[in-house]
Amino acid sequence: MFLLSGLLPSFVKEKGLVRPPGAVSEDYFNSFCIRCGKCVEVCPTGAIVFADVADGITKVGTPKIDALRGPCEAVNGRCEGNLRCVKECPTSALRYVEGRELKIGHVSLDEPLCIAWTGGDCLVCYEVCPVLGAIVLTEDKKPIFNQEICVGCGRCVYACPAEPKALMLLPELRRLRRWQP
Amino acid sequence: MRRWRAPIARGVLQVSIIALIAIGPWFGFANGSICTLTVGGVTLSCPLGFLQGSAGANAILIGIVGSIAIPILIALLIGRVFCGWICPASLGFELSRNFRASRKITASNGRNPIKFLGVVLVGTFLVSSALFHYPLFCIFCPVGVICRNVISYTQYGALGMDIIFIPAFILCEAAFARWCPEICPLGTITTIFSKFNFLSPRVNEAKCVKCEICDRVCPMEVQVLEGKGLTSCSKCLKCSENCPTDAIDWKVGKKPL
Repeated sequence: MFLLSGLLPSFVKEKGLVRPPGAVSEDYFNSFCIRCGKCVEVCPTGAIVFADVADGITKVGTPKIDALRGPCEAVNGRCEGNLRCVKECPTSALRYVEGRELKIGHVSLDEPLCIAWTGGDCLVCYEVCPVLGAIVLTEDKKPIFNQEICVGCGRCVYACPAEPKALMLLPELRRLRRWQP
Repeated sequence: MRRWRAPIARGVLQVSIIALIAIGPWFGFANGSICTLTVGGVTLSCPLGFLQGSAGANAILIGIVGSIAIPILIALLIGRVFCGWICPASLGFELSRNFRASRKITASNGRNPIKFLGVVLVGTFLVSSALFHYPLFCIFCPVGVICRNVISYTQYGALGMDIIFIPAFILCEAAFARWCPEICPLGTITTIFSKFNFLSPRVNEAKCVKCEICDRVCPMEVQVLEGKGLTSCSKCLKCSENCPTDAIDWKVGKKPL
């Protein structure tokens, strides 16, 4: 039984997940989270979904942010200063973070798919970005992401009109470690 | 002589708990799942989730210390009432058990109601949570899987792949019927806490004809006739409803036996 529970993670390749804002570091998050689904229920944009077996068997039932379903509005949005998921979390797997320390994930830009980079006329990601300076434009109106400033809310990913999406929300591997118990 | 009032009442309660989880957040009077349920400002949490999370994080989950108090208090006072009346998995298990022929009284009857296998499993889950830093039982806990899939279906219209555990569990239960009385770690924890058990079936010797139907129908393998193993009684009322002579009464108070 011990052997089995240790081997479980190797059956399905574990991958990093984009956690809701204020998540503690991944190991602790996996223990702290009792998979109750409160954050999934209260998210006003529906961005938080349950991790499935494909996300790693040890993470089944934990929350992750799916930017294709909705953006996280923790910064300059409906949840500004009132993170509903953090407030509902009973076990403090999600903890309150100051706006400046918030780091949910980071965004990768696939330039061959981007409308602006392939010669089109598109400024959607630049316009929806709630953080000043996270997306800067080159002289010929092409977006460049500043990973230091970007909080990874996923609003640009949600809004990206390219088909398939040129932007992808990736997990923040250097997640805030201040909250380690 | 079978009556259906108690099974229907229990089924209605179990289904309405699921409905509460499904539609509660839309109206704002309840949120969460059975793992951690907030109804009208009161939060109730799963003690086993608390133990596993604490073991995995090497820290006490301070946030739910207060909310596991009420479930533990209920377990102390009236035992496994959760299993009979609220647990959504037991609803499915009970229906699946109806496909089996009436059970013979097994050898495990009458022994300690805290079953060895269940205790070993609880210990295993706690130790592997501590070693590998994730709550192992929560991943396939039938209650949690049902609640999570209800939430995911009502919130964003998708079911997780972990839903396959439910038919698997129901098939196993239809074949062996061992989960509720012996294996379920939640039930084992509740039985361990069930110290006072103020509500229990009592056989009225004057009416009893010793047909042993009560022992046979009990899903928790309580020996109702001898009054043994009453701490694992789930108050499902099956014994008194199936009794041909109405010899079983429900007494509130400490058992005199």
